[in-house]
Amino acid sequence: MKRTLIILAALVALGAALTLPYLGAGRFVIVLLTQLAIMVTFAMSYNVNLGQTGLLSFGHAVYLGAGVFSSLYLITAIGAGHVALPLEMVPLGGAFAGFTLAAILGLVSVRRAGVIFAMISLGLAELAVAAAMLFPSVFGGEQGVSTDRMVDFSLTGLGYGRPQEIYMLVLVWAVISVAAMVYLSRTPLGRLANAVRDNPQRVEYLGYAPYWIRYIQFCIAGTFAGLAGSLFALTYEIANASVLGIHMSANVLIATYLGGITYVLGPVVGALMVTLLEINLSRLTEAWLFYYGLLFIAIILFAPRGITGLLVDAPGAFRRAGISGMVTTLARWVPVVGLIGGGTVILVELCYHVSNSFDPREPLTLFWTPVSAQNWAPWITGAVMMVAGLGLFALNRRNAAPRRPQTGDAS
Amino acid sequence: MDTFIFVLVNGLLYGMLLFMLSSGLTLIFSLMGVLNFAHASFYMLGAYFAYQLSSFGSFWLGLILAPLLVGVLGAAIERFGLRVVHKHGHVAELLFTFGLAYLIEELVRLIWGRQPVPYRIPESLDFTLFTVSGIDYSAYRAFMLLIAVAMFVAVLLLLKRTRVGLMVQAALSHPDVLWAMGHNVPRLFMLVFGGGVALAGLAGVIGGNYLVTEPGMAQQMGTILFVIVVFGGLGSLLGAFLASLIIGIAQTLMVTMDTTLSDLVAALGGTAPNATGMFREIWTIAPSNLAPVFPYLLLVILLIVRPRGLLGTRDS
Repeated sequence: MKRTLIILAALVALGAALTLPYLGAGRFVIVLLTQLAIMVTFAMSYNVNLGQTGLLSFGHAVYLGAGVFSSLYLITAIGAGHVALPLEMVPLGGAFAGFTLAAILGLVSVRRAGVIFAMISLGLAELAVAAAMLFPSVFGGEQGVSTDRMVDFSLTGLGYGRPQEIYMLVLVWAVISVAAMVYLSRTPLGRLANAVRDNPQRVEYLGYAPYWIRYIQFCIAGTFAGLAGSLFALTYEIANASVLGIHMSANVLIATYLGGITYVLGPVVGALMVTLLEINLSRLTEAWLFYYGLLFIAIILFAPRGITGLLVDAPGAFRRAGISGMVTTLARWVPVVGLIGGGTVILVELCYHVSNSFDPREPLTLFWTPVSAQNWAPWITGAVMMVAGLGLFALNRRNAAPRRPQTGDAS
Repeated sequence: MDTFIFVLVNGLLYGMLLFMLSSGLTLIFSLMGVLNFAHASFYMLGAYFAYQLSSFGSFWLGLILAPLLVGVLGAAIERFGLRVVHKHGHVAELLFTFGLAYLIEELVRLIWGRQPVPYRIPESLDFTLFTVSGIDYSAYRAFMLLIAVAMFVAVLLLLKRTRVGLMVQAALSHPDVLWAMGHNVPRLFMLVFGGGVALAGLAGVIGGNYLVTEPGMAQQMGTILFVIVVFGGLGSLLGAFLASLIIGIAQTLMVTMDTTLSDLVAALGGTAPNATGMFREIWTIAPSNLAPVFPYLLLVILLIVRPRGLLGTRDS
C-alpha cells in the first residue's frame, strides 16, 4: 500500500517534470527544474556516504568539482573534434572522473568512520580548494573555465542550445542516477553498508571487511557526485574553483540532513526543499542564510529524521491522537512556534536593517506593515514575543512529559 | 639571523594564540567526545564582544567581560542544545556544532555587518617595546604573549592542583565511575564546555585586534584548529601545545620563504623548463604561497601515517 503510494507519487512527479516544459512553463521554471535535478542527484550521492554507510563527509563537493572540470574540458574537446563522443554521453566522463578521484582519495579516507573520516574529508577538501587556487592554468582562477555545449556531435540530433533541451538531458541522467542509487540501497552491498554504519565490529565478525565496504560505497558516491558535476557543467557551461569548496559541501550536507538521512529518498525531499527555499527566501529577505541555519539546528534538535521523518510519522500521529487530541496539540504548539518564529523574524530583520541596509533610517516593511528601526516599539514587540514564546515552550514541555529522572550523559 | 629570531618570536606568538584555542577544543573533545566545530566561532564572538565593549568603555573592560560572556553563552548552548542532541550520537553532535558555526557566522554578519570592524589595539599598549636590527617589536605582542603564558599556567594549575581539575582528569578516563560516585558529570561537562569556549573568547579578545575582526575569521581559524588537535593527538593537551607551536612557527617561517622550484633548479646548475601548458605554475610556486595549505597537507599525511597523532593514545 505504502510502496504503491510512493511509486505513484514518483511517477506523478516524473510525469509533471517531463510535461512541464511543453505546458508553456517559462524560462525561469525550466532553469529552476534543471537546478533541482542536479541538486537531487548530488544529494542522493552524498547520502550513499552519510545515510547508508555512516560516513560524514565535509568534502563531497571535491568529487562534484572533478566531474565539473573534467566535463568542461571534455565538452571543449568534443567541440574541437578531438574526442569522438556524443554530448549526451559527457556525464559518463564526469562520473569516471569522480570515480577515479574517489578511488584514489578513498584509500586514505575510509580507514575509519566517524570523526576521523570527517576530519580527513575536511582536510582533503581544503587541500583541493587551495590546489585549485594555486593552478589557474587548470581551474581558471577567479574567472573559471568555460565551454560551449553546442557541439555538432549528438545522438538525438538536438543542438542543446535551448534550456528545454538541456533540461531533458539533465532530467534523464538524474532519473537514471537516482534509480540506480535506490536500487543500490536494496542490494546486498547496500545492506552490508548499513550494517557497517551501525556496527562495524559485528560485520567484521561475520567475515566481511568494513574497510572495503566503506571504500566501495565511497567510490560509488564519488562516481555519482562526478556525474552530478557533469550535469552542472552541461547546464551552466562555466565554473570556477568555488564549486569544489567547503560552501558547496556544507550545502549538500545540510540539504541531505534536512531531508532525512535514514530514508532512501530523503535527500530528494531535502534537495527539493532547500533549492526552493533558497530561491524563494532569498527573494523575500536578505537574511535568508540565517533562517536556513536556524532551520537546520531546529531539525537536528527536534526532528533528527528530517522532514521526511515528519511526513512519514504525521499520519500515524494524527490517527493515534484523534481529532480532540490533535486540536489540543495544535492549540498547545502553534502559539509557541508562532511567537518564537515571529519574534525571531522581527528581531532579525530589524538587526539586519540597522547594520546592513543602505540607509537604516528608511522604514522597512515587516509583516506588511511599515515600521521604523529607529523606534523602540518594534524591538520591544519582537523581544516580548520571543520571551513569551520561550516561556510557553518551557511550560508546555513541563506539562507534556512526566518528569523523567535525569540520565547520565557519561560516554 | 636577526630576522630569523624575529620570525621565530612571531611564530611563537601565533602558536600560543593557536594553543589558547586548541587547548579548549581538545579538552572538550576528550571529555565529551564532541569535536566542537563552532570553537573558532566563539573565538570570533570574543573578538566582536570585546570590540563592542571597548567602544562602550575601555579595552580592559572587554578583556575581562568578553570571555566571561562567551563562556556563559557556551555553557547555555551546552545545557540546552548539545545535551539534547547527545542521545542521537556523535554524528548528530558534530552536525549540531557545525550548524552552530554556520549560525554564529550569520549572526555576526547580521549584527555587525559584513565588513571588518575597527577593533584596535589599546593606546596604552601601542608603542614599540624594543627594536632588533631595525625591526620594531610592539608592546602589544609582548602583552599577548604574557596573556597566553598566564593562561597556560592557569589552566595547568587548575587541572593539576584543584578539586575540579581532579574531577576533569577522572572524567577523561572513567566518566561513568565518577558519575556513580555521586559527582554531577553533566554539570562538569557544561563547565568544561563553558570554560573551553571562554578561553577561545579570550583568544579572540587579544587576537581580534592583532589580526582582523571580520565575519570570515572563524572559518579561517577553524580548520587550522582541527589540524592542530588531530596532529597533536585527539585529547592530548601537551600534544595540542606542541602542535600549536610547530604549526605556528612553520607557517610563519614559510611566509618568509620565496624560493621557487625553478630557482632551485637554477641553483643546482640546471635550467628551468619553459613554463607553458597546464600546471605550469608548479615552477613558480614558492613556500610562501603554500603556507595556508601546509597545515592541511600535514593533516592528511599524518592521518595516513599515524592516525592517533603526535601524542595521542587512542585512534579516534
